[in-house]
Amino acid sequence: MLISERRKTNCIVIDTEKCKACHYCISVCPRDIIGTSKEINRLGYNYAEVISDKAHECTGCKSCAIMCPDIAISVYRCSRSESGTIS
Amino acid sequence: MSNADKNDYENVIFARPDIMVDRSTHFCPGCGHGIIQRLVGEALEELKLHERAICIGSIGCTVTAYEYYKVDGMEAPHGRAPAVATAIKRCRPNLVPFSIQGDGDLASIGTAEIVHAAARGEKITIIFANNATYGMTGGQLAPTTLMGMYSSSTPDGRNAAQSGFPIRVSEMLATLDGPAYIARVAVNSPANVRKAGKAINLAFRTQLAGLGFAMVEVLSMCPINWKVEPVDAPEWMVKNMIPQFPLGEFKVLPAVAALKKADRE
Repeated sequence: MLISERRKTNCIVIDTEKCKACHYCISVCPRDIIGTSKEINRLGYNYAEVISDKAHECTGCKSCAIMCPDIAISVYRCSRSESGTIS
Repeated sequence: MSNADKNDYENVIFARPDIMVDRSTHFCPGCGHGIIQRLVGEALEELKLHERAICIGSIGCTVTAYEYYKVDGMEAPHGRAPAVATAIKRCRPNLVPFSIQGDGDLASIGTAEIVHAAARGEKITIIFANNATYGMTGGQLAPTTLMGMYSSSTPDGRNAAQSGFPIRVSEMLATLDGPAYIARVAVNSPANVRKAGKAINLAFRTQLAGLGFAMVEVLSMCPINWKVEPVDAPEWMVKNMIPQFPLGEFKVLPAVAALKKADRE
């Protein structure tokens, strides 16, 4: 029997060169998946970045993106189809 | 970038509106003006006003608003954006003039223009960004500066004997017969940003339906001049600013209420 499992995950993409490190996104994220980088961007700020261990926990609530004053965050609903067989 | 490949991205559920130019903003970190500009962009895009909207640049931190939208624009002298918008609307009634004005621009030097544009019931849309300070010039006392608030021209805090009391513009204009829609919203939390977006959208639809003057006052963060960390600014607003500038709708004509109801259904 062939089953196909459709696994949905959501993710955010942060344009790090537009980030001015106000950290509104970090304070509103319900899953705390956003943190501060060690590097600085060309504006001189420690930009916000997704913590890679927690990236899969994103619920796609868009709270970070609607609070971002610099429209540096875009939100995607990603879906992957994985198919496998079970006997 | 997440663990998924770029090809896996199917649905963009949030991105910069196409009507806005892809560029960095000139605002300080944590400034609420960026959020207000995006909400206006979303409203313009949703209502498909690419060809009809005219952005009137006011003076203050909002001065280069026309650089952020792919629509036509015109710069107004300090405080005179409602007058310029009036002229555009009366000469070309099919255009949709709007302006984002700061509190120094609208409540100080431009008080006469906004009061009379509202009293005449001009069919224009004004977004009033109120951050309780003159942001661009270095945080001096504005007409909306809170009682007891420190500013660079009141280093001991605002006191009534010297500087009087703050003006609540929304309440003041709501007593006139001209305006069709007047509301005060804030951009301090995701829930409030969503409400602000709806109010701004309704203000544009009020103009499109020809119902009259619409103004949305948006309480905005100015962490640099409030002398707080950006991340603490929303909390500061809840604690200090919203008690003196209560949120809500101050004037909704029945025809505008019908528009709002139609939206909900």
